[in-house]
Amino acid sequence: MAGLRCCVKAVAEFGASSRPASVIRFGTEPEAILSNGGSRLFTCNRLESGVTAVHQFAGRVTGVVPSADGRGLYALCQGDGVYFTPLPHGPRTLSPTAVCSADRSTLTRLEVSAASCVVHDHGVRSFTVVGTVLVTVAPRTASGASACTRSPHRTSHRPAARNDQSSAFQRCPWPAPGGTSRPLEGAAVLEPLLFRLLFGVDAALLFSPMILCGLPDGRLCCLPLLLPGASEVKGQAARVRVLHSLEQPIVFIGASGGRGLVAVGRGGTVLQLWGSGGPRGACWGSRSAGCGALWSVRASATRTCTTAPAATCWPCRWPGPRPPLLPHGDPLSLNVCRVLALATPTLDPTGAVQLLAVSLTGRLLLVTLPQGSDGGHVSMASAAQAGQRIRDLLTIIRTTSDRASCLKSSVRSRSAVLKSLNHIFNVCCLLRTNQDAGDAVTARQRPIRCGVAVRWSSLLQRDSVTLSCVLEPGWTLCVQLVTPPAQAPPTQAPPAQAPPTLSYAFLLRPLPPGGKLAVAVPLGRSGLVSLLLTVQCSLVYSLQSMLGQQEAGALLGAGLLSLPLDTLTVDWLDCLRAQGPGPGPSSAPTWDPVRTFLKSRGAGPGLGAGPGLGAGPGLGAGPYAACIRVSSELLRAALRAPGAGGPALSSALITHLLPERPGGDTHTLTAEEVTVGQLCAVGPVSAVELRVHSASLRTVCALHHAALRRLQALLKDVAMTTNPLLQVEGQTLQQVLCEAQRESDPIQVYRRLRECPLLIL
Amino acid sequence: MHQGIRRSNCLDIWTVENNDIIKKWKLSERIQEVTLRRHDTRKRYYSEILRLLQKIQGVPSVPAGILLELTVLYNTLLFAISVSEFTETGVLLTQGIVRALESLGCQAPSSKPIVLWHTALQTFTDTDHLTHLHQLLCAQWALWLCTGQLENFLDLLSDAQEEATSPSGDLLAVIRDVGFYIEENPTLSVAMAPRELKELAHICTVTTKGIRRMEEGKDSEALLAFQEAVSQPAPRTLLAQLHTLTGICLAKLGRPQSAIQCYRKAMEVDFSCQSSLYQSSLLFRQQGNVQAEMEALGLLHAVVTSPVCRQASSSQAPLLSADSLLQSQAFSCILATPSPPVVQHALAQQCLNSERIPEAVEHYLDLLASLQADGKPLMNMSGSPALPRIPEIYLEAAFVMLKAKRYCDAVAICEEVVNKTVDLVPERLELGIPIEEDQRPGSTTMPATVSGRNKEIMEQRLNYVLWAGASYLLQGQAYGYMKDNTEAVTSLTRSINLLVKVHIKHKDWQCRDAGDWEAAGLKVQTLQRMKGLVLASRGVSFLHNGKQKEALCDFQLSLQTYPGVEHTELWLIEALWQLGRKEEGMAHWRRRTQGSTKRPTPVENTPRGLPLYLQSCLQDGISVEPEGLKKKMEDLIHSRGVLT
Repeated sequence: MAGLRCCVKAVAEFGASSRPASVIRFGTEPEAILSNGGSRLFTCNRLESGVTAVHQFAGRVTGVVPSADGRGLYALCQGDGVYFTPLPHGPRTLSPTAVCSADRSTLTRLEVSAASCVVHDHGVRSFTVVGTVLVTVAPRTASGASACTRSPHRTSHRPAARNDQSSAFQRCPWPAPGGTSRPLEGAAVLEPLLFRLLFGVDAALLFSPMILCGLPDGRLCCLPLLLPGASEVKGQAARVRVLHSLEQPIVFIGASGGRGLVAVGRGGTVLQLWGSGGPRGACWGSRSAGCGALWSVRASATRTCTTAPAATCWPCRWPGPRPPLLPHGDPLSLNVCRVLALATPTLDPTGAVQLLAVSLTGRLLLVTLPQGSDGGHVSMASAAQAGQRIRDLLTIIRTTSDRASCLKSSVRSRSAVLKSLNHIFNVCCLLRTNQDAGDAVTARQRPIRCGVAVRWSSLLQRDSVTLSCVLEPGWTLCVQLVTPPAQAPPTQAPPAQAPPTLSYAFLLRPLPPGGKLAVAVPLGRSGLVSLLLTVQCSLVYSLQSMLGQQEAGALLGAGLLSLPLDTLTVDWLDCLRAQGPGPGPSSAPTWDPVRTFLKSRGAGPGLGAGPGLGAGPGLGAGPYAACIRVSSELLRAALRAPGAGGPALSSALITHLLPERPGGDTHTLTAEEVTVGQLCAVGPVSAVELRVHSASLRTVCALHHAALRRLQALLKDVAMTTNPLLQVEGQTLQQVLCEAQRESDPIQVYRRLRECPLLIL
Repeated sequence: MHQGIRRSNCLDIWTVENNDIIKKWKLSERIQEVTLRRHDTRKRYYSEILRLLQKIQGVPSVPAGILLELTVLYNTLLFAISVSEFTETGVLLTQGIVRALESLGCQAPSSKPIVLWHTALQTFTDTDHLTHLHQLLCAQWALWLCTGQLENFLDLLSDAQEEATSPSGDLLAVIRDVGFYIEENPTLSVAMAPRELKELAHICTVTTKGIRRMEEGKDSEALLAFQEAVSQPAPRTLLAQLHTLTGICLAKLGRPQSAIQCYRKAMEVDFSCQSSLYQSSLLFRQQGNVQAEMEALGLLHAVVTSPVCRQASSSQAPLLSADSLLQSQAFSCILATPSPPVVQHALAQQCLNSERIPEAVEHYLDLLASLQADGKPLMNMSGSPALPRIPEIYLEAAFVMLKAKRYCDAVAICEEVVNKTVDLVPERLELGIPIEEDQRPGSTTMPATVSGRNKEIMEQRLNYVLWAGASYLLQGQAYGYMKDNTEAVTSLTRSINLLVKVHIKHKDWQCRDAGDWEAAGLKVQTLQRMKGLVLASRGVSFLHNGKQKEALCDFQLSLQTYPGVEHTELWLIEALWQLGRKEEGMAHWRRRTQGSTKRPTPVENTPRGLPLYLQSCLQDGISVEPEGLKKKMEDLIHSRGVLT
């Protein structure tokens, strides 16, 4: 027989006895309770300090069970009943020094009186405590025994079931973890499958504790504590069921690490019950093995220790992955002799297994086993369980993939939205640089530009004016035409209100860099068009395109993002430029657009002016003309042509007014340098005279007006910096122009200008 | 003389001692309230007075001391009976009579009680002695009542008073005419007045007789006995029980209205008489009066669970009560009331049956909680009606949750059952038909033990399959209600996978009509019904998922497994319609309408005996609207009719 070398230390001494003894230890607490089979119970507060308290009972103590809270213990006196006695509270509350100072003289002697008797029944053979319930086994009649339950302090006394003969031992396995109840001190915990196989689904569903009872005839019985009685549940077997018969008195029932239930008979037969799943359904198996006569058995998760009369201890290991086989190989001798009883093995802080033992000579021994390796636990699953597991996993995979694809599409749409938002933001930045740069950057250098051109078109013998807007990269172009208030018919809207506008929206295709987009906006049929329009171009982005109609509506209202682009002005001069013969295609010389235009204004040469117009003083019936004089110096400053003089300056002015045609339209606009002498005290002032010729009086007026407006815009900045003396005249001009703008009839303006020809200084 | 004085002194001391014991006991009885403690107290006083008796009997019996001795013996006997020490009581009684005879110098003829009593009754003639002897006779009567040997008493009386006995030997008549000298002696205390004991013993005797007649099936005779007993003075509790017994006899004799009157009287006498409440609930159930039955059950539950009522009944009990004398099994069986869980379960089921869902939910939740609660171990063992198995209660609770639209709770409860059962299901389970027939014989006989055990295992495994399958079914339906059709299909598929593990071994068996069902046994019927339901439910889920072909297949399989379910037929037609196979749908519709006119009651949706949780119509909430489908079909038929 293989042996182990153990460290043995005698920690306490008490009366020797050859009767069955027992020793109880509360987990790893230093406290131990000893019974040597006599009428006294010994308590060791600390293993080092020896026996500290003695409880004297009326009769022989044959069973000791600690109470659930560890504050007291229940003891069964043979032929008397069950007593409850509180433990001296010392060890857990006293400081270590106080304990050290306690010597043998402080040994407490406690007489357990009849008043502390909990169950007075001389027939009780064995008992156990489950929470607040005390279960006793006692022979009731000559042929039967009955288990009685009662709470230690209250409730009724009721026969529960009948068994044959008296019992020897009992334990209560508690349902495996997952139950709501707390585990019990000293209770065996079985794994769920085994629990259900042995005790049924009903007990498992109710988390009912089970009472296991080994009878002297070797039968192993179980009894549910919570389940309604046998007669109350259909199809349920009798309340107390016999699990197995060992055919010898059962001295120990316990769990081996939850995986198996172990019952040991006095003759040394060891019965094991374990559960296993298989293709034919889960079932429980049992096997027994003999290992000689035994006195005391204790089990822990990894080993069972037994005491035999031969006075050796055998730790039996069951490390295997299969159902734990109890005597795995040969039992190992601990080489400790004359041992009567053992306490449940515990682990000390270093991980070594410790055993408390009571020797024949009445000594309490602390046996420390050498550290050994215990085999790992490999869980085995049946094919059915594996199949179920795979199915579960597949289900999870499917659910996950559904979820993943859903998330993916959401991410995709989100990134698309982000992309377009980025685009919008970029455009916003570009436009901002537009605005920041202001006038410093010329229009041609802006990244996004907008320009207008006016074209005439003739369709079905009707001439109409079309405004073409040209936009370089962008999205939706929105063109608003604002008619100045002066030209709006007074009946339509009061002047305080916003000027009448017309909006056009164009969907933009993606434009390549440097690309252009031209859109045409009809201005109306000829004759009905009033020029001097403000064209406001803006880029509009609809957020609906990225979020969908409803969401965008809910979140952003209209969901439109509008970025102002350019504000341009269109006047008669633009019309001239657009239709002038110079840059136009040479294919249309036969058809003079200007003439057409003039004709359309109802003032063609052939038609002549109305009699009212022609009756003005100094006005002939022939071509009409008007002139504007601008001081050369001022003009030079405005046009930034310092060295230029004479014809160069004149042509520069024409070029400014009609930039597309450097040569100028001699028929319409001429500019020449003149000297004006008599105007003011400074002396003769050189000036440029801009003349407007036309056969139509209305044309002259309109052109004159447009030219003046442009000159005003040109000179606005320069006027501030020039000679203050000359400024007066400029102001006069400005006043006149303001009046002219207010004047509804251009004829009146013309007349005034004619009457006092102005010189713009 | 000196001896005489000492003796008389001794007698005085013993008298005082006896009176002291009785006084102390009465005091402690008043203080003690808990039954358990009271039992212990009585045991203690029993041992004290027994010690006194042994002291008295330590000296040879003399005429002077015999009266004291007999009184102490009487007290001892009462205590002994109250702590159920019947054997010892008998021994003490015999000893006492022998000693009494010895005191007069007579030799006891035999140790047989009846012979002894004969001799004693003939020997003692003076009133004092007879009074004490009759006290003892009352105790003997009580003992024989307890041990069920009433015939002895009858013999004794009929022999003693032959002239008064009617020739028929009618026990009632004998007892009625029993005359006792039971005058009380003021100097000697007794634990219970002999007159009281005699009355109690009398009424208990009559009751016992009635119960025996009831057991023999002679209800009208029993009724007479109970009616006589009721007319006697009796303690409150016993009177209520007698009223209840009368009511039970009346109900058995087909007079329910009178029975209810009796139950009402019982309630008036003793408010906490549980048996009358329970019996009236049974009677109401027989009469189909659901409302009244539920009221009775509700009251019963309140009484059973209320601690006040129990306390009230146990306080101030005399040393011997009717309960301790009427110890026959039959008495407690007839008057047994179910334990609180059983009452609550019945109540919950009734709520469910009468569609009072919120109340049913409350009751089921309470029931589950009370079954799981710690500290309420070991319930009533008497022969009260049974609870179903615990998993079935869980499934019923889940079903109720489903009806109450608490789908997540239903899923959770089912999960609990699944966790506990699914790993116990075998890969394959072969069933012979019929399975239940083989089970009846051989529960104890030796040769049948092995096969009986196999049957038991078989049955248990079939239970696992049914429970796990039903859990998945209910889960699937819950998911279906929650519009999570993918999860529903998963659960239902699991259920199907479990259910198809059971193979039915019978080559000729087919489920064509009701007769086949009866033959197959309830378990197989349940299995088939469940299969049909699961398949149909999965079909519905498939249809909601837009998988019409799979749905159609499931509906067809469902109808094949369990034909004649109307909802499934409608769903089948709907599936055909959605698949565009309108002609087939129309054919089914025509067959259906023709069939239903021919056979007004098609195979019932919920046959009797099936578990409650399978009585669901197929997903009521989302079922096909029969009206809509009908309209569609009729429109189609009409249009076809017009075309052709």
